[in-house]
Amino acid sequence: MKTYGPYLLKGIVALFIGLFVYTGLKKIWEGGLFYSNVRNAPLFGTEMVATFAAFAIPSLELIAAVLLFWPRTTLKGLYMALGLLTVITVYLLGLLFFGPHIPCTCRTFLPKLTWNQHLYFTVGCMLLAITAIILYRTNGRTD
Amino acid sequence: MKTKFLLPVLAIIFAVGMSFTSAKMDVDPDNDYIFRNNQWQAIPEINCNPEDQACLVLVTPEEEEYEVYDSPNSNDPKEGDGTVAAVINLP
Repeated sequence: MKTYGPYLLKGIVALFIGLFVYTGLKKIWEGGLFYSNVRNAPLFGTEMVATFAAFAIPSLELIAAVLLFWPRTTLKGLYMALGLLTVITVYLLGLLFFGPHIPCTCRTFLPKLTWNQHLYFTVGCMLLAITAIILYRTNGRTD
Repeated sequence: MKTKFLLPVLAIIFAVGMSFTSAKMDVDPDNDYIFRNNQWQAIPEINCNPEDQACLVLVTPEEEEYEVYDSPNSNDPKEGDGTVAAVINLP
């Protein structure tokens, strides 16, 4: 683990940079469509919350990607990634167990996956983020 | 550029390209479309079950099935499971 640790850490960080840049930019390019998805999503409620979420979600994803990119802020980026993934996981759990209705997954990041599979994906990413944080604390920075 | 930035930069380039190619910029969030009577007609947003097949609607009273599109463009079909996702009444 000590030999492969730094490489694994670099791989996980690069994976998260790609993931957050992709999802953040895609939401920005799609603009009104993403706002509409958020507005119609169960558990989001009012228009004000939806407007805020439609602006805040892609912004936070891109900020996480920037923090992950610079070696000095990688650890902060990993904590932010873990926080974002935790929020998404809690939302998915709320949607699956307490949502008034379950919408189609046709306009999600991975439309071929069911909501349960989305949940497994985010939990898997959370485990990767925790692994990366442990590796960072064990082996030091990615540079 | 130092090699420590190589992997993150590659990830960013890949992600930016993917976001451009996969983003649906022309999609109307409130409506879907069908090609009926040689023209595009807006219909309410249909909740399709995406499984690599066409999303279909049954239009009454003519009892005809139509493929659903995300925008008034034949290159933008909506994915479904090959079955009729909704029945709609159009004049």
